[in-house]
Amino acid sequence: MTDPTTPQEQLGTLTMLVHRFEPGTDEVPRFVEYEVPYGQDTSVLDALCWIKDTLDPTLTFRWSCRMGVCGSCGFVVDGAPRLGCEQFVRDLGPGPVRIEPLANLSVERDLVVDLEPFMQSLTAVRPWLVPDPDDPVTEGSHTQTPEQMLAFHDYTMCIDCLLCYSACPQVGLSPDFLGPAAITAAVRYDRDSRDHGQRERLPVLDSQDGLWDCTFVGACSTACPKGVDPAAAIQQAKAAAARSWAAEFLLPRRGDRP
Amino acid sequence: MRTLRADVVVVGGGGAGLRAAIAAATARPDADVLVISKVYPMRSHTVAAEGGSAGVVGDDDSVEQHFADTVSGGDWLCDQDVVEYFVEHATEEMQQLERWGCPWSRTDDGAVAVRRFGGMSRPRTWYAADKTGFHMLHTLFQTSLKHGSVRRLDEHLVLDLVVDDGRVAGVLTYDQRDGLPVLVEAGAVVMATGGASRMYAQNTNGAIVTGDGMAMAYRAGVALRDMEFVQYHPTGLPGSGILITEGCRGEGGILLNADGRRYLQDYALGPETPVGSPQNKYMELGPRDRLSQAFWHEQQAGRTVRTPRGDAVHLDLTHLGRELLHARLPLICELAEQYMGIDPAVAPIPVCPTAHYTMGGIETDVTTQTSLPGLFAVGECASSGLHGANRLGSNSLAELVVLGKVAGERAADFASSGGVPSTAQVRRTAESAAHDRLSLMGRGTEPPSQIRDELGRAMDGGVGIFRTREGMTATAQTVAELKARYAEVRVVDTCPVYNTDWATTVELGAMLDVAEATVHSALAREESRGSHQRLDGFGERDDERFLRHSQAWFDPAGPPRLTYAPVTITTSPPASRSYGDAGRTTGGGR
Amino acid sequence: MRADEVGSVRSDRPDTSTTGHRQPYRRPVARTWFLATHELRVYALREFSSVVVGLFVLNLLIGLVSVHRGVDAWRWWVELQRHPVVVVMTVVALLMAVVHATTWFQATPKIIKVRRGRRYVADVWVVLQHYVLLALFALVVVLWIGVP
Repeated sequence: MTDPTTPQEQLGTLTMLVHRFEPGTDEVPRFVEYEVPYGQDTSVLDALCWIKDTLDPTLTFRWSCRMGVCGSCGFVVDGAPRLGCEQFVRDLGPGPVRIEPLANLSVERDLVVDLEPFMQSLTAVRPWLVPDPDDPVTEGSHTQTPEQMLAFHDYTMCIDCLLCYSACPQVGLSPDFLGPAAITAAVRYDRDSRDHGQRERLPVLDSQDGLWDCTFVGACSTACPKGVDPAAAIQQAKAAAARSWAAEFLLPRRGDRP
Repeated sequence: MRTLRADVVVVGGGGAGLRAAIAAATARPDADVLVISKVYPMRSHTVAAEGGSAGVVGDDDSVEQHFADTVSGGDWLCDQDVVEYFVEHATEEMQQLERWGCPWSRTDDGAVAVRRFGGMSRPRTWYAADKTGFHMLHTLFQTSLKHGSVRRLDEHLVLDLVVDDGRVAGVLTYDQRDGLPVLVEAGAVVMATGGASRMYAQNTNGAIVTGDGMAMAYRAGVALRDMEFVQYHPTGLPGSGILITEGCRGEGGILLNADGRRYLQDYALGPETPVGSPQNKYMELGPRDRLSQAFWHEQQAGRTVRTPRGDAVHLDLTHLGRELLHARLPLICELAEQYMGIDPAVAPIPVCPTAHYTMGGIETDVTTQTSLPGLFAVGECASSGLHGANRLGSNSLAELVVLGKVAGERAADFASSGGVPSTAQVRRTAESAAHDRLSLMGRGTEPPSQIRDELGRAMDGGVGIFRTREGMTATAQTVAELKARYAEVRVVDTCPVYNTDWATTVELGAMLDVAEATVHSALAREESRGSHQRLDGFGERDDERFLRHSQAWFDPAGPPRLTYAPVTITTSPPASRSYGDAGRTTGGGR
Repeated sequence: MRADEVGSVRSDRPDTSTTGHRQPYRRPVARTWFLATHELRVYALREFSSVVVGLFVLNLLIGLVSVHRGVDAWRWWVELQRHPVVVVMTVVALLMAVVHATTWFQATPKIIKVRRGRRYVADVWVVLQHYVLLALFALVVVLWIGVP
């Protein structure tokens, strides 16, 4: 891990107020202030690592790849959900800067939140390719044109960082809500030309704690660091669910591909 | 202690581990398969792999050519039986991933696209834009959710193998969330914990790639094989080490020194191919070890570019055009912009060789079985014999799934015939090991971050691209001192829940063991082969003495004991390894 | 507590029981969550605009019922429209209707995806299309119904 600053490059120091919580010791979370030196390419993640290595080894947070693909290092930085490795200290305000865990999820320790509700939501939407029951491809590959890929490709880019869960007020208000990333995973498969699982995913989506908790705030897409646009996925899923309901109503047992 | 049982325990939830779990569950639907990962599987470092995964598809391509490329790429240290199995099964595994939904990039007519890659004589690298590892991992993870018999213990750090009666009996792990140790009794264990390049200061890897599984198997008496072979990826961002995929060069990117010269033509990789028309095995599409070595020479001659984060050369993608860059290399554009403030459509990206992949690891054969009954190993943590002295890009992602499947099936078979040992002795061993591990909390004097930084500098310095006896000896000495200091390592954090101070210190212990095996194996190999290159009089390949695998055996009292094992040669006798025009006239390397 | 006041290293051993030490903390959601960020405030305004537009529609419905009831009721309703409070409410309703229309038009590209080759048509064209349709519709209404 890079030394976040070398003497000739230091641009300054920033005061960071970091959310701390130790289960078994703290009744409620508290904030601790740290003075952190930074350079041109110091990220918030680098700063946290520096604090841990130099000032306080007990500071706890998740991280791994430091290049924005693993999804581990989501935090709330001055009120906005960001990936620690993609938020540079040079772009933050004069300070003090607040670093908090992702919102709407329980805090396990310091900046670590409970991801289990999301893992359950993700599993619930059956996020795997369901082959054609009548004529499954069992050897070789499916054919799929770039045009067909357009329909779902953006939705494959989700890194499960859960910044969208932090941004979405409905996740905070309705804890059983599937949430943006889980719904997007379902839509990713529903819109994949190779998939035939819309029918089995529909009941999970088309329920109160499925799609319909979403009131189209759109904050999820604003927060998404990978341009996945979960808000679009969810609204498209609503439209598909409504079409499906209408089709069932008018012509029972008709196919429900969006 | 909390105790669980499973028929097959997979340690590590990356590409290899998940593929093994799916294979075990498919082969034996009645078996309990348990994947134990210290992070949620989507965080596994497979996610960061970019360029692609190899599998023969072209009409003018063949498994024989893939075999030849791999064997010569590995400088003839590959076990050719493993290479044969691999090349024969790579394509069907790529197709299996496709049927599971992997969004491979396509040609206009909907067929899977393949691209050129370093050291490959034909385009055969399947790719999903420049996030192939990401898409493979997510496909495998989501597919694993389909199998009810595959359970997971997420964010559980596996600490030790539990061995009883000469075989693996289970693993001791630590539940980070609940904050307590857990014994998992197992019929078979598949180690899939990844590589160890974090022991180098400048590396492309994420925090978690610390050689945990290698160290565990090593301490349990299994040999670590060919540890001296560490791959430096030629193009990482200076300072951070963030990976800039080989796919850039596969699409036609070129490397320029400070004089604006495509210097690789001076290193037996020429003649210069036209800009924008890359040719397999020429110039920038030479193998990784050669490219990294060329950089080192340029650096010595003072022809590299100085950046605030160290010396670099320029990766020029400007001639590819914005359209192609955004279609085929979107992640690279993002990374260059974010971390360097560079738009690759208008400016070259500074890059330098960065520690990336450990070819060596837990010794296995083509069945992924280790010398310890019940223990299998697969992926970067294993030395299957596929990569030899230098891995070709896009062979690693393919290895995960080809051998991952083998590991899962074999482990499931083993467990069904051997049963799950569950004895009082196993529990006592686990309790004692847990006690030892947890006693690190809240004591000690040596800050782990300093030990870690010094280890990184010592490895970069002495066991880098070019090695000397002096340098390696100094590093070996440093590693020994660091291990002594580690005995007094300080863990301040005593909270049992998500104690990352303790967990990273455990990982540091693993890296020290793996580093020791690496440096001693390197010292002993008195030749230059593949990614192990020496400047101290052993600058040539020496097949007579060293066409052999090194084996490092753990010794708790000092440096490892070293032995050597033969290389399996089937159809390709050792020849000279050549690229560029030189590769056309000799038998090898074609 | 400042960082340089980190407490002394504790030495008690962790408990190795089977129940665990987890004690997650649930942070309460503030009642005024919709005021927390600019984006949420805009969202709240959008939602509120529906309420206002709804009230205006209610006013029109009352007018409709008044017509049904006869001339006196109708005159009462027309007079009511001149009441300063109702005038203010009508102006606010007009503003809210604009907010309502613009925010929902802005959101339509999320649902309407038009493929052209290997790309989607840019969002701005989808939004523009709605304004064009609105203008046409308004023109029709004004010319047909509005011109005496």
